[in-house]
Amino acid sequence: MIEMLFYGIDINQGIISLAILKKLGRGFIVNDLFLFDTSNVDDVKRLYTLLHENRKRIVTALDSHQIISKSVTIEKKRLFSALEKPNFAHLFNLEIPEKILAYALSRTNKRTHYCVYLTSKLHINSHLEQYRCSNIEPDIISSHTQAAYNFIKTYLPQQKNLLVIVLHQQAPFFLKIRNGIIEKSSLLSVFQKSNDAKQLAIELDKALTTIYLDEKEKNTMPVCFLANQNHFEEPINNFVSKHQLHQIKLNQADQGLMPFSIAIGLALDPLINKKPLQLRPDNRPSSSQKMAFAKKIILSCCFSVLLSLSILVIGRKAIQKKQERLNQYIHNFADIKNRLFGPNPAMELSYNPHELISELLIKSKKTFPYLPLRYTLSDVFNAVFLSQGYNNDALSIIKFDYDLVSFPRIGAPQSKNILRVSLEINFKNSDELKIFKNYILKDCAIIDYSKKIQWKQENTSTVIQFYLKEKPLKESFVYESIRKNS
Amino acid sequence: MNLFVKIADYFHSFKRILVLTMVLVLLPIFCISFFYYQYQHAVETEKKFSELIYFSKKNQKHLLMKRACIKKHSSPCISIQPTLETFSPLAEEKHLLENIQRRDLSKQVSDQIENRLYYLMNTNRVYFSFTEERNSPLATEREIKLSHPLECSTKDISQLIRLLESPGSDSKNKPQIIIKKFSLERPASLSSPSNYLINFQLIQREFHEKNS
Repeated sequence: MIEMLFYGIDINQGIISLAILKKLGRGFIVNDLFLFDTSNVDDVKRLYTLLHENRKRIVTALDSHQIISKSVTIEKKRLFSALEKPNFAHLFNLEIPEKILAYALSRTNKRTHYCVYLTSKLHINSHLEQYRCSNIEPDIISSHTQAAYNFIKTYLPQQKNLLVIVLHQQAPFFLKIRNGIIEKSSLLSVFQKSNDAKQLAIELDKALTTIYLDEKEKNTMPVCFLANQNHFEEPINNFVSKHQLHQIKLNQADQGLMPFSIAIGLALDPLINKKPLQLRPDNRPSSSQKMAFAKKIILSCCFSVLLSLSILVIGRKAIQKKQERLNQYIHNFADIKNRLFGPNPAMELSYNPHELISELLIKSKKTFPYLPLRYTLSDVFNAVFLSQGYNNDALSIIKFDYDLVSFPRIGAPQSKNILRVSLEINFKNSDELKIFKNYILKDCAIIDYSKKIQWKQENTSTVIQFYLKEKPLKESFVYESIRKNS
Repeated sequence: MNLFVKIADYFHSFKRILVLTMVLVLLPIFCISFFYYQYQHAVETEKKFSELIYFSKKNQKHLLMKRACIKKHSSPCISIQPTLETFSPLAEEKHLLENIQRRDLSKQVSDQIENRLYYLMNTNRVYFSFTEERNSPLATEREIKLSHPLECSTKDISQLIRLLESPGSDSKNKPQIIIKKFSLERPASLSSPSNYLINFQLIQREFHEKNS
């Protein structure tokens, strides 16, 4: 697995300091340190090679003269106060066009300490242009102050109160760290014009009153110099002994890191802070941000395409199964169709099931209404008069009416078979009448008992009217003939 | 790397990223809907097939009967009319009267017998009148009814019913006979108390096999 590398880059009067740090567990290691002279072609080539590394985050810093900083401490009052976005616009009463505000924060138990930085878009653009000339595209634009603070916090962690003087040739500055947080940071007017050590000593003397507020502070706040050139050592020592200051130095092992202090501090920013200082606006994404964005797009595209493909494969498989079953159905159906309708060319099966099925369903569902599903006269005579076996002499039929009230016919094929029978019978014996009545009103199989039966007793005769059921299919002689044939 | 940057630059615009998001979201949705539609279509077709097969099996006999029925009563049919017109009711009485007529009888009795014989031989016969004819591509229906009621004995009634219904007859080209109305009545005015006056109305139906 390729690990992320953090590049801290500081350009100082044509010299590029590059510190490459690598995350190691919760800590880090300094992977490489380089100094490149931009006027040297070989150096530039080496730098290009190093910058070609894929998994890296480049941190650069605006010069101190391009940035104003202020420290603010806010007490935590509410549980979710950390989620609230603080507004620091009121801290700077400066009319700067297109100003950019950013902050770095550190938290203690009850307080949140903000170090708020103000710059302008103009400075950012010129900074980006300056680095672009060296083919450097920074992911994070931080500040020298923040870099120095990060360096001190990491390499002198026990020093909670410290005055740090950074002898950066382009923009020297100092920062006061009190109780582990930046109290003040300011540009030094020294060293602007010359690299001369003597001149430096003189100018440091002049700036002393700006740095220390009083004598008491001199005793309580030791000083630490961060300089990238060794020949400043003598004037610094002179300055310290002259003013009886307490100087703090890095460990012997870390002494070699001194010229790269700012570059290391910059690379440390995203390593030690959850929310590193970022002065680069969102609408100017770095190449690594662009890469991350492009990767997300490509991943989303791949995911979507893969999902669609899997749906296509699964769907096709499911459809195929159904298709096979349908083909089986078609095969079975062809058999049945031939048996029922015969080989009718107009109804030849093709794989256009919907139209065919609809057509056949309509055709099949229209059952043939002209089957003789009515009880015949013989059925009526047999059922009403002959089936009971009573003496025929006991009754005489005066009137008999067999009336097919309704039946399926041309013009009304869906009409039901309704058959009405009216009788006028004369019974010689009342017992026979009783038997007949019981039979007609309860037990006659062909009478439709869902309809009203009229029973009227006249002087000498009985008038009866009833309706017949529809003859069951199985009793139809056509059914019998089919059964015999099959 | 340049490609990544180019991609990112291309999709830096909100509109483009919106279009891309929509395409990426809609692509699987489109696939799902397409297959869902196809699957549903197949399920519906399968359902219709199974329904049809079930229906066909269930109604197979019914449909076979239809074919048998059509075949049996397919046109051109031999009309029932001539058969029925040969039916001569009260044949026994006629025979008896003819025997009596041969004897020497008084003129009054002879006239009465002659009148009765004339009635039995000429008037009391099956005469049909057509009322209506209906046609369809499947069949032709003809409604016929008796011109006047027939006087019949109980024996004649059974014979007549047999003729009308012709049950169990397997012969082809007979029309389907539907007895629409059949009435028998015994009015007091009849010569014999065991005789009935019969009236009926029929429908002759014949199927056109080619169109069915």
